[in-house]
Amino acid sequence: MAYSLLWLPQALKDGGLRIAPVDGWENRGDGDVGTTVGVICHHTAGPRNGNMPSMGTLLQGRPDLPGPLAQLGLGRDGTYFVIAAGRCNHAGKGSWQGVTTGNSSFIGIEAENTGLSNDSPWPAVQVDAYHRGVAAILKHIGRPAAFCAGHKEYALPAGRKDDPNFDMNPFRAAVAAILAGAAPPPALIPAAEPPAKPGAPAGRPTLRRPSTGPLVKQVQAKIGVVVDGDFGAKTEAAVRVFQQSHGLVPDGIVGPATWAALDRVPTPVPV
Amino acid sequence: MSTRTSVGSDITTVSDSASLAAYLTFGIKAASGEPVTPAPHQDSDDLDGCDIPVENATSDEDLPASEGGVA
Repeated sequence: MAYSLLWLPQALKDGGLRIAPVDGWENRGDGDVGTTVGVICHHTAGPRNGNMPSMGTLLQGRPDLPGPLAQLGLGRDGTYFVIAAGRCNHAGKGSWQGVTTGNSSFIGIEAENTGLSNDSPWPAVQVDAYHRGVAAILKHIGRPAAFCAGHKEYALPAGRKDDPNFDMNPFRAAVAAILAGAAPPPALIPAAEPPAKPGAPAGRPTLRRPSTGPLVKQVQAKIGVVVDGDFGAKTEAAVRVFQQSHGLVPDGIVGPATWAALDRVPTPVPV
Repeated sequence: MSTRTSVGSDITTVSDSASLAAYLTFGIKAASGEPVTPAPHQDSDDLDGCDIPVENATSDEDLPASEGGVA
């Protein structure tokens, strides 16, 4: 059976965010949620490397604690992984705005971060997505920014949790600004390179999974993966590595900035 | 729809297609080899799975494809 939070992906997309539904998310949950009143923000305290290395654990939990452990995972590249439409075991004992049923009443977002100095500062693209994602959810449920809590604020007894490792007051102020329409619009990746000159046709299209064709082959040749014209998971992972090594946001999407960086790489000569 | 089978006094295995798909996709194994649920008497609102150790990191290649975010 599908659970109640089926609106989550569209609400996030409407907020200009990138989402990645995890197979089976509609039917995943430790039962269904109750009336959703807000959002609890977490960090995963997971591994330092990778975009969302905690994903498997968020899905499956551990032997004495079943997954899913959050409805949403927020990758380091600002992508929201939609894990569950039902109740998740993310909150534990606590209270916020007089609500003490955290797992039943709050949507949990686990953002990938170690919580340590080796993962600070957080990537700007991830922080922006965190603000916008929380705002999109609160907008959908008709609640103000005050209904966004950090896990460390919700958890009881006080001091039981320390996540997320940032100050929630400026976080809520940023969310409030988005809800009020006072923040700049999200920075979307253009669907194609801008024209070389006014009136000229647009340039190369933005490529991502599951693009196919000769332009994908060009990308694959430059980043050193199998050249089959199929932009799959391996190509995406290699694009992320390329982007990271060239100071770009490692989102695995070949937009104008990544095309420009690829153009500076010599095309390998077939042997 | 889940099929749950009692294994011990406080452990229950979970077998459903969604969990199995995720299990196969991400290769995650609990110590017992099966995803399990806790004792049914626990208050589920008291369960806190935040910050639990990640024993099997999910590689970028195993993450699902993204949608949106492109104009």
